[in-house]
Amino acid sequence: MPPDPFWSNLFRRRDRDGDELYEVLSKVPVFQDLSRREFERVREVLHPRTYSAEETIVRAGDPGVGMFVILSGEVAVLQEEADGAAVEVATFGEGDFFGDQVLLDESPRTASAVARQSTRVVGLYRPELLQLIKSQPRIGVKVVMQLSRMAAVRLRQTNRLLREARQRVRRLEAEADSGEPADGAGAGEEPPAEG
Amino acid sequence: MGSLSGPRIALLAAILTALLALWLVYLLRGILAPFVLAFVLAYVLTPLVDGMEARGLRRVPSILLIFLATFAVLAFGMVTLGKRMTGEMIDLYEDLLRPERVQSTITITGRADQALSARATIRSEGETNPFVLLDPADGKLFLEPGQQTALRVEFAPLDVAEHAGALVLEGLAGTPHAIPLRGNLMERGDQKGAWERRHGGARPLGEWTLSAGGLDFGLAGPHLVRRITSKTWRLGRYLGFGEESMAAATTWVTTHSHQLVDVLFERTTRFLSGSVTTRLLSGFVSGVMLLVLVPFVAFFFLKEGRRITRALVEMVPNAYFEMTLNLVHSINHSIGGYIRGQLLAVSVVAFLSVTGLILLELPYAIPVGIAAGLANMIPYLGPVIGIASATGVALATASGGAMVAKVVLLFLCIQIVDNVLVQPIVVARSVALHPLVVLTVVMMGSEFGGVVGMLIAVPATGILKVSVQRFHEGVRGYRISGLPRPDVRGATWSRVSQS
Repeated sequence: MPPDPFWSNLFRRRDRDGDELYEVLSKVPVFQDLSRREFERVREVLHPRTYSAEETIVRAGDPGVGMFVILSGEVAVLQEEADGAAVEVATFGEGDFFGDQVLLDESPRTASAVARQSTRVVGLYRPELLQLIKSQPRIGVKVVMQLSRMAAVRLRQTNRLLREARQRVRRLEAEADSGEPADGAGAGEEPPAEG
Repeated sequence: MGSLSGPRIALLAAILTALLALWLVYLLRGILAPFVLAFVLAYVLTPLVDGMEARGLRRVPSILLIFLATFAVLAFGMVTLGKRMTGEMIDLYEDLLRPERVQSTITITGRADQALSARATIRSEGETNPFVLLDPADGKLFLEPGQQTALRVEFAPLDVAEHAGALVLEGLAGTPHAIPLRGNLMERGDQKGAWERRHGGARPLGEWTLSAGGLDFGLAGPHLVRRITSKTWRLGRYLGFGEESMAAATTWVTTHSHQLVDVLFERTTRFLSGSVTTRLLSGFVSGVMLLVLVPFVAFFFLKEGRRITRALVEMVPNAYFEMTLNLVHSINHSIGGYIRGQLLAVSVVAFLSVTGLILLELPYAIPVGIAAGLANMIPYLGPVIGIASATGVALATASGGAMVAKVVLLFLCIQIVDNVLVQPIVVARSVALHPLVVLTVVMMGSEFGGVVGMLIAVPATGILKVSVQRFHEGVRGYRISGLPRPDVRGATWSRVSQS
């Protein structure tokens, strides 16, 4: 039986966490600009949480306020199809992060995330990020810069996919006009995974 | 899913722990006061400390600096205004609450051949008893044959209404004998004279002799109330009201206003002398302890506040963690804004009132101004209370009409400043409470805690309203989200092929 999240959160051992947290998180884009000392300040607003297998971490539609970095374990990202079935669109492992967009705006979650096995994550939540920006502007700016950079990268990616999709549509239209059958049109583009 | 699976046991344990903690808090309520005070202090100072920290100062020096500044300001205030303030407070207390005392004696002369024993008691006709038998305090009289003894009675009314009572002597000539006592008889010759004629002079009673048939104590009462009454009296006479109706009106007003004040003060004392304050002042935690303990505890709340909140929030189970964290921050933000807004408004109004009243040279400027500032926390009623108390003092003391007009004008200006300049700055303060709600909670507050209760009622309601609002907003999204949620547990996970 996996350790109960309630009690493991309550009786977490702190000292061991420190180094491990830094090791994993310093590779995550959001925190990679931070020095060790700066990271210690950020650590005050990070919440390590433990989820047991099958436990929902975020639910699509909920007003989310946090992003998560996986320390260990595996997380499945699920999106609901039109027929109501949940479709797994991505799997994340150690060092991966998800849900970072809600740190920048207050939109509801677009996908659900479920722990596939016993999983440890670190959560960073918007109210505390705002507090950090207020009390430690330098550090806050570094974190927000990285978040914006990630948003920019994703936008560029989306633009590229959009361009490709347009080209494809044009090609298909051209094929339809010339009366040839459109083969392989069903396979859509993979949407970028998000929390 | 079983009826008692892991998460449910955890939830049950959490609820039990919370109940146990509440019970413990209830048991320890006597020593909680310094912690509550420290919490409020820390809550108010936190943004200051945060601000200094953001400007590059470390947290501990920031806290110490703020503490030092606070003490310096307090000390400066004590030195400059302290003497005048305490003096005015004491004067006001004496004038308003401590009644004038009038004493009178009646002597009994015993018979030459027989010892006499009797019991003297005071009987009052009204609800409150302003008459006290001072000597003999236990009411027991014993006279050797032929001896003379004095009964001393004090009249100390809290208002200027007419009071009647009786000094009852039992054991004299078999039947109890009542000696009428009168106080605050209206200053009209005919009435007073008639009473004197009826009760004055030596009076034989069986074989013994009383020096008088009754006692008239004349006029007594709290200075301020008496002064206000006599001013109104004169005004009424000037305006040509009949003496009869004036007398009736004065009596009615003073009695009822006195009853109101009396009830409020009684409730306040009861509330303040409840277990918390009594233990606070007399028990383990003395006043000096409080002075040391509150800053000490507040220091740690300021230093570790975030960590304490964090430790508490982290106990919340995963399913509610994100929501709880968001709620805590949102409620904290709103309450903080509300409290700081109230404090700012109270300080501004109190400062302006005190300064203005001092410039107008109104007596008791400091207590009246501070009271006006505090009362300003109560919407609608507060400004009225402020104006009323200042006008009352103006009426009772200084040059009358002109001063009243100046005071009213001053308070109108202060209200304009408050509404035009202060309130727009303090956005969070405008927790709109319906007038009916204000009236209801203020009355409830007065029922529980008198004047103090009335003052606490509105901010407490404001805090409650803000919390409930934020809670509702925070939870709403999680219940009725716009998007349907995938039933994750029952779903068949089909992997979409990566193209």
